[in-house]
Amino acid sequence: MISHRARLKREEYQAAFILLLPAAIGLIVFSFVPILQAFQVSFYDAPLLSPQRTFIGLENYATAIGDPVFIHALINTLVYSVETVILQIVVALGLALLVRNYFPGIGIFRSAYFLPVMTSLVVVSTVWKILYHTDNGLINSILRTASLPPVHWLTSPDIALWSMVIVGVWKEVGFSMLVLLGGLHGIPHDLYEAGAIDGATGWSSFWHITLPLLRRAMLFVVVLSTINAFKLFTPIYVMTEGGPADSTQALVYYIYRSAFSYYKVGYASALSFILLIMVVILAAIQFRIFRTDVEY
Amino acid sequence: MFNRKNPNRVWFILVVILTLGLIATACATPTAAPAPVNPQVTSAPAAAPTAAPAAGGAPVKLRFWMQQDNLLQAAMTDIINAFQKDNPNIQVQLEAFPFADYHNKLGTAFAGGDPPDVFWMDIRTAQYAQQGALLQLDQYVTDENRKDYLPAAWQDAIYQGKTYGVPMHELTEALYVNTQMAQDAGITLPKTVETAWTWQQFEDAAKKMTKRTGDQTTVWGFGVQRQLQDWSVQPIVYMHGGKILTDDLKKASGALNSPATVEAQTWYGSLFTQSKVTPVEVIPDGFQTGKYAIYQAPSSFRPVLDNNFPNFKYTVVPMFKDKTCSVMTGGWNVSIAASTKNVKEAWTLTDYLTRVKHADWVDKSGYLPARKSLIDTAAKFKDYPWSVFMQELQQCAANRPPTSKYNFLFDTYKQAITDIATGKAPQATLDAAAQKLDAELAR
Repeated sequence: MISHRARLKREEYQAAFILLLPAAIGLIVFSFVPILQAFQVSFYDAPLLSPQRTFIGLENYATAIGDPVFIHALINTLVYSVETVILQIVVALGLALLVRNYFPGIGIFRSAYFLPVMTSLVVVSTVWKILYHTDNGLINSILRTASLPPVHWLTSPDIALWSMVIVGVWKEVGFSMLVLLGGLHGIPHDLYEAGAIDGATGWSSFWHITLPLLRRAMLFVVVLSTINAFKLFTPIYVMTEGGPADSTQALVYYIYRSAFSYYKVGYASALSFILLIMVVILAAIQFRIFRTDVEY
Repeated sequence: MFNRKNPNRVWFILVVILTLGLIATACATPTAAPAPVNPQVTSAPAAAPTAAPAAGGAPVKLRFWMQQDNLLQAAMTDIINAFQKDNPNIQVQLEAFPFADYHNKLGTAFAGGDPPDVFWMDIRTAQYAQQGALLQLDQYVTDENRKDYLPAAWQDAIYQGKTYGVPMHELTEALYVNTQMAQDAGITLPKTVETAWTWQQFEDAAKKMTKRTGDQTTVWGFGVQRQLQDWSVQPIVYMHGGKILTDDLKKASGALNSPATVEAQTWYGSLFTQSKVTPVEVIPDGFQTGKYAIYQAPSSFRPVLDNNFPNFKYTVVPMFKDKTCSVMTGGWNVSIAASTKNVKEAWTLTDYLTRVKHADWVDKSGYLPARKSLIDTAAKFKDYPWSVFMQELQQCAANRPPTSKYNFLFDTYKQAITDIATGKAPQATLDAAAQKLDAELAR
């Protein structure tokens, strides 16, 4: 005879299963199955326009490793990710600390910082392209007014990737700020009081109390920012198309061009899986770095 | 129905049925044709057949795709309506997409096994033909029909000696000059290919009309509608005796990095980096708002200026020249999908659009004629400014390399000329680009 407790547990599991089932089926049919099909295609020479496919084994993967454009795109993507993630965390944490404590009108600031997150990335990229225009852009106009030389935001190979970083950080920092703000609010105030008794104030309080207890929130922000950074596509598509001098050539943009411009679907699928493996490895490393035994 | 002891089982069954139903609906083959990108652009209104279907002609529906443009679609809708009146058993569903999305949509349609029957195709003919997507049309194009076209018109539609498209029209470029700025600078504007500017004369004119305030350029002497693209820049190479690919289209080394090509690209790059008469970044509507004095643009730019900026004064001037004259030509062709189930009707439509209604299309669309019979008989093409375009079309026509790796060539070439325009050494840049192209062309 099943005990009452066991029966409740089973009913709880059944209810959870039922509630998760629609999303799970959707995920399987519209995400996992296409992913498996793409994995299969990655072992074929598969032109986009023709149903004919030729099995070539690991040739696509071997070609990718020897493809200078792919290597260049990979390096650019890694550099972009590192720069964006670090900058995003620093700025988001700064903003979160600024808006942590209540004051009248705090809601306006929090909303303003979150607004770019809600805006379409195509629109954001188009607007920033206009802002970045060397002759007619607002940013260079301000620099000229301040008697500073104009910057070739999108036409200098040394600067173009940084221009993408600025757009990426501006777009996503609001979301990171919210997550870190939640983390900050979750730290019990009595820990700061206890620390103050021992003489920990200001910077030492931040370093020894705030940062350790923010690790979980930080992990979430870092992993998500890294994944988003690796998905860099729209700003490049709108603003630079990979130039100048391939300085903004990124992985996802190259995958897109390989599939839809060069019609090499098999090769593009192989590149996608290499990207997937890299992101999984990076996420695993980040989980390891940000693991914490500190609880409250 | 509801079991008090196990209510969850019932909910489970209901949820599974509902979910499977939703999935089945999502996966169902659509019965309606896909809607165009712009909801304002709908299918051409189908003219009601005025008579019973022709004897022996079962009703057929054709899907026809073209580039989205208000002027072009209006013109095409009229022609499609006339076609449907003349061929009551054939109904044509017209769909249009912005140029930036057109080949994505078309390629995806082919990939999904659901391409249109008849569609516009351009320099990418070789790409599509190489993958078996296009119907070969040699058996349908008569000798008389073929010979009526300007030779350059067929270049983009032929792959490995076989015809995969029929030209709709022709397109070429010229220089549009701000008449007031030219007058103020005291510049005489040539009106024929014979008197066209040399490189030096053009550069001098552009320098005279460039205006700066401090380090900011308020008026650029020269601008290009298709900035730093093969369409606008490759003629510079050709007019200096250079090439982009070898004649067999198999290599770029020896062509793209040949001395003649490097010289041409060096001069063109100096317009950006040394004489600084043209910017790397495009200024939207720059010509009509006085930001560019000389503007290199296709013949299709004229109607845009005349319709939208009627008070703006400009002069059409032939493209500058060097050892020879050279201007890119091309345009849309009409192709048929190899998988179409209605070959006869698809050809009937193709022939109607490209031969029967050629004059009508040219008149309404503002494109240039591709047929000699129309060029020889229509008086307006002998008048200025049409005469500038027609002279270029007949004496200076150049084509882009019709390679099956066109998109890769486009990207690589664009990257190279942009790098040169931003100061990179031309020889090294073109050597690297040639190497990259050789590897891809060999695959």
